[in-house]
Amino acid sequence: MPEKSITDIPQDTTHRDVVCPFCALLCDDLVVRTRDGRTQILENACPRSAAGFERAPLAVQPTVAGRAASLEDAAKRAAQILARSKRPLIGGLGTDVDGVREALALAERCGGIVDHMHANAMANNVRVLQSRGWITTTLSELRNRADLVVLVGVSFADRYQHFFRRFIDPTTTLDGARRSNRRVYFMGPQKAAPTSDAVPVETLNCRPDQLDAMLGALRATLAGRPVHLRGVQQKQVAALAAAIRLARYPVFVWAPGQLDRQNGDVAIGQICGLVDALNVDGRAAGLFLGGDDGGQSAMSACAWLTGFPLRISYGGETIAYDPINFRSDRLLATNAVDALLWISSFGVSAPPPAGATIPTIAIGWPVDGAAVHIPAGTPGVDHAGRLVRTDTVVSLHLKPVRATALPSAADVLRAIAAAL
Amino acid sequence: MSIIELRGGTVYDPANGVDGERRDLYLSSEGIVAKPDDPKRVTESIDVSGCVVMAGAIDIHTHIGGGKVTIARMMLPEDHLRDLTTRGQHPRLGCGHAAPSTLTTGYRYAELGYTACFEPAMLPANARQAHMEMADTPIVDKGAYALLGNDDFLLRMLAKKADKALIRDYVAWTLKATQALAIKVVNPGGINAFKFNQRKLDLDEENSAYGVTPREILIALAEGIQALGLSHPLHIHGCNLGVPGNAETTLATIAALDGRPAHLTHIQFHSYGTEGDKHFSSGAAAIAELVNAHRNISVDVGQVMFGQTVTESGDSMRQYAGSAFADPKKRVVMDIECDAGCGVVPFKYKDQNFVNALQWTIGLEMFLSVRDPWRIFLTTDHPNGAPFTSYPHLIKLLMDRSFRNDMLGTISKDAAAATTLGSLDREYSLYEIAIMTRAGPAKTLGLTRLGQLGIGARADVVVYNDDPDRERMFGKPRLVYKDGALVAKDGKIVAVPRGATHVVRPDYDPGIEKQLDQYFDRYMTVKCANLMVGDDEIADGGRGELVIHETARGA
Ligand code: SF4
Ligand SMILES: [Zn+2]
Repeated sequence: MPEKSITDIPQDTTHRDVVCPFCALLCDDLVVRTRDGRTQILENACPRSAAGFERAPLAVQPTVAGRAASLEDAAKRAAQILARSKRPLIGGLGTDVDGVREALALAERCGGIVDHMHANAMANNVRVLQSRGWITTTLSELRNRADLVVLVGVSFADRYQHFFRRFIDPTTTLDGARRSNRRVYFMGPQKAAPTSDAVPVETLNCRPDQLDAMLGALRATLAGRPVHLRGVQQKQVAALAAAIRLARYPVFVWAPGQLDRQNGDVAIGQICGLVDALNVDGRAAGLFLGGDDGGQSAMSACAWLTGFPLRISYGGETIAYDPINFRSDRLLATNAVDALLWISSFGVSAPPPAGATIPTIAIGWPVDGAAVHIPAGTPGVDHAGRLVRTDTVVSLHLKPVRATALPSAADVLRAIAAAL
Repeated sequence: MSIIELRGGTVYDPANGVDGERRDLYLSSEGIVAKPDDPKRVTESIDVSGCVVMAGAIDIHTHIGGGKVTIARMMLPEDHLRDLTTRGQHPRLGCGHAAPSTLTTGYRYAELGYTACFEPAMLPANARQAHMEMADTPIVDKGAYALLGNDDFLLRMLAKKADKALIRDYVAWTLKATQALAIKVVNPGGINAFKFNQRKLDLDEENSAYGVTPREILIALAEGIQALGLSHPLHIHGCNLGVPGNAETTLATIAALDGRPAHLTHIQFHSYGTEGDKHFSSGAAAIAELVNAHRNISVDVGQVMFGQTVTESGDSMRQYAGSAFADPKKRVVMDIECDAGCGVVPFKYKDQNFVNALQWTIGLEMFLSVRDPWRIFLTTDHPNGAPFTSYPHLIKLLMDRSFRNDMLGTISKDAAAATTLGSLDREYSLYEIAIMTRAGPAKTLGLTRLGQLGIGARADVVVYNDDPDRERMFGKPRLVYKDGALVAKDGKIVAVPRGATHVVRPDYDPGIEKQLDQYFDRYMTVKCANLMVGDDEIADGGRGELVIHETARGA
């Protein structure tokens, strides 16, 4: 713990209504205490947020070729790498809205391609949005209006851990009857089914690659068409269909990053088709959980600043939008880019795809073998920032809970741009 | 302080009663100043004789920032790919057309001589993002109207017959919490009713969950706003948008307001009758007549132009109904945060389609039939009727009767036969255009230093070549100044200031905060304190400027 980086914060401070940056639910009811340089969640922690807040801040020292350097020199070296590159990749993008703004500005100046570490998952959603659209809802609507919730393959093992506490089983809702009658279904492997003390979860057991078939069968059942499933599954689907028919506001939840990689968009399309059909005579809505590590912020801010969601390139005379060919893993594996700037400010869990042998600039967490590493703080822990929540509607202003000398990723990107 | 002298221009400044007089103007970063005693203080003198000089234009209703705009941006790459900007064209890359990028939006508005734009549908739950998007919309000043009237909090208050003072305090709190300039209501109670599967809600029909009618909501909000002494009255997107026969609803809404000040937005979409073989006709004449007779009412038009666009609205109920006509076939409808909703539906207005062509004529009939230009504002409800880039064309339609009649000759024959447009020979003057795009919007919004060229006004000034082709004239001003600095020259952006954010902040009894804290804790998924957008967020480390306008009640 670098004691001397704890500068002007009082020795013992307790923060209330703290927003958690560690998954896209952005829970904002945490109580966090920083004492003697140690940060701890006193109330409403989940394992992920506890790990995130309690992690010691990064050492402030930037490095160039593994050796200590001033921020100025590190930024200069980073600018040099970008200036010499014909086609740099600005990847990771694990940062807040301000960081995304600066990353786009820098990419424009050096003709870079821009991608986010979770863009594959989000691209599943975007394909459905751009081909057919959807009917969706947000977390407060879920909390108050849903009388039936279908979790399509959603796992709460390492993210979204407060989903049940905050939205499925809150102590109070605007319509008490809907809460007390609320029924929750899980479609997916039995062993991955969520459990809750307060709300029974009925599981429709199936393999992850069977989800679209199950959803297809559910649609067919609701439409009165014949279905062909195994006995148990057929019975369960029929029971769910019957419950959906009685529900006044069923909500179907998916997590694009947890669906089958190859055809996640097929399952999402099935859900959205199902929701559309239910809305002809009644109400129903979809809701997705995704865009962690600043992912939703990156998608939204990129869309408003450029007119396109990720992935984009500034390599030509105009912005180019190509969610398939601008995939980081593909670009790095085929040596289609000649420099990498990797931003990761939410934790160690997000290294760049392996195989990067090109000059690399790491902002935030270090990357093995990086030519330049400039540490940056975590938004909402070390510095202020703004993040967009999973439902794409709510965004929150995060405030620091401890004082460090760490710059934000946006500060670092500005310093690099100034040196360019 | 440097001073720029604009010499000998023909000035149209209706706020100060100046109608095409030859005047010299002195611009500084502090505002419009008097002719300096010491001529050496003039750092640059430009001969603009023969040119038309007006204040920067103000768009009173344009969807430039917030979730639904960004959904449209994500959803329509095919539309954007047709209008990519190229390197060197603007300070930064982006794209235009139906849902342009924020950067391109700011540049294109400035290129057209617009220096202030107001986002009319900011959901409190989405206010922070709306402000982030507006902050990324360069050059122009901005502001937003917060949406109320479909939030469960207000509907619960109305169902419980809450005290008027409490509603007034809630309105004031909302303005502060969301950094808003005014209050908008969209399909009063209807967006909420749609969540309970009601598919239409007439003026006197009860929301099934709360037993509250749109009429009650309109009156409660209009009175709350009046009690706070806001300059801009309730900004109303009424019931039954787009429904044939909704002219009756609009007439009834004006009557229901019973003399209370109100602004009816995109009135074109609310002026439909049911006459004729196709059961779709213009209700513009009757509505214009009622507007003419009611000085408490102002309107903006929401003119339709032919071509591809996207409709973005908080009105999830009507947008869901309209999604049957989506072109291309995709759409987003959302229920949002016990607050409101939204619907994003791409749409193509076709000049040979009877309904679309008649919509075009209805908007123009309205422009030409409402007599007082101080109470009718020029909008396409960007992008719902058409992208704002069509404004120069629209101005030409209003100013040039023979051009208008030529265009009338090209649309659907049946529509042309059904409209009285050809018999309306009014032509807008430059003075009237300056009223409806500058002085009028500034007056109703309470922007005392905008929309005018008097001493002390912000030095937002546009110099046009006096081209008889008004489309060409308004499409590419010779010079555009923002706060005394040249930002566009002959359609080319030369400087990129950030633009200020305009808000009002009337006082309220802090008792309402305790109630809201409790409500948010009990029902919402953010804390009340975290919903509020702070001054520091707008100031953004000195990059942004917050302008707080006075209201009768406090601040
Ligand atoms: S569920 Fe997500 S947002 Fe909530 S506390 Fe855990 S990590 Fe943070
Ligand atoms: Zn509008």
